[in-house]
Amino acid sequence: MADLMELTDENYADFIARQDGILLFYKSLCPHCKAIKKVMQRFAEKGSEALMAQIDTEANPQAVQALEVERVPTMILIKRGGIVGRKIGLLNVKELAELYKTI
Amino acid sequence: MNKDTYDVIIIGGGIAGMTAAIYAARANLRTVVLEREICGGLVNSTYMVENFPSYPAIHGMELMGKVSDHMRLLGVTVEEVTDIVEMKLGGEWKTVATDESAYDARAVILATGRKPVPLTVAEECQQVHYCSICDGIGYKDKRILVVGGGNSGFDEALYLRSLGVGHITLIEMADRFFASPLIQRELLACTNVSARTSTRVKAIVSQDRLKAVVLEDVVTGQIQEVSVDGIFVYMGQHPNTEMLRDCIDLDDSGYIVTGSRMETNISGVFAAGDVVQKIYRQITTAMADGTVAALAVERYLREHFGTSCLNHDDN
Repeated sequence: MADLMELTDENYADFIARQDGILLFYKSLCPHCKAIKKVMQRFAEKGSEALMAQIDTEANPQAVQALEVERVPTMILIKRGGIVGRKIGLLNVKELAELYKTI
Repeated sequence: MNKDTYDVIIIGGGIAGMTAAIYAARANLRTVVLEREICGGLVNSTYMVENFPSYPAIHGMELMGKVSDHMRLLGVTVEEVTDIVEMKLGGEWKTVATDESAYDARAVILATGRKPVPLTVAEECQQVHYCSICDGIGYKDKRILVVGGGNSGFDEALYLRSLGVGHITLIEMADRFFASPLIQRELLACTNVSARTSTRVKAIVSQDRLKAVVLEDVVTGQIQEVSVDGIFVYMGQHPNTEMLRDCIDLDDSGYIVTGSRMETNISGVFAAGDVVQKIYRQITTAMADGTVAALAVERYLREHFGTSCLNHDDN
């Protein structure tokens, strides 16, 4: 299972501007974040073209503030060089695929 | 849909399920663990575990990570973030179907654990939380309410305080707190903490965001509105037995009834951990259940189907 691309305060904005993808805001000791990470990895394995990335909320306060992230896990959904949606909390692979398709 | 055959299917990857998997794998049983989220169960959400023999203090998720590593080292198949859609537990062969695969085995261990009791309020509110590690980051310098005076409520309140929460009100509906005296002393000595017993949340006040809670003294009926920005709920747990109601003997509260070998009313189906009817629910008691269940499964398979069914030298 391929790991998610790790982003920082320095490069997260560039990722949003350039990629269709999903950016996960997480904390290292958050079990739901780990579960969502696995859901994203499985979504990628099933052939999604969305690029999967993650950013540690404890190490990257600027990104947290700029995107007004108050809870983890928060997924930022990105298409056409911008943010098109966000999802807080748990969901399964099928639900993520449906969500990403419909936004 | 793929169909895989194992000696034992373990449903639930909390500490009971993982301990059972370790014992089953060491008994040379082909073992699969099916987990809805990630392995570790409720312990994953415990910020600090301080009663696990060998570690005076360890993060719950770190401890569960170690157990998970041990289990995987023994060759146990682990399927995480997988939803179970159907179980057929009667008969010699049991089948468990997930959203992606199906699994057959002659034995099943149910270790489905428990889930938090929700706060019952009239309206939906985004600021009602059940995991302080996940949701505490937004409450620096803010006011929060912690509901529940057991170890979880006090533990999580201490964790939230460490995040820089401005003020904590902790309430318990019973006439006393149930947390250990040590942790009660630690929290109640803090200047920005107030705590009260015989109190429940009667209503919440919100306009887009949570503004306040209406608290009721359950003895006197006195009402008080308290300004809070968030609510963290630790009111205990309900067993995860919805899918089992029609086939497994449950007690009045929904917990699985087992015998001394963790056997259920169905031959070849065992249970372990918090989902089982018992008095004390601790990490260590869940491990004991998992141990007994796995040993009983090995014995059940050997006595009913002979040693040949356990000969997996090809593994």
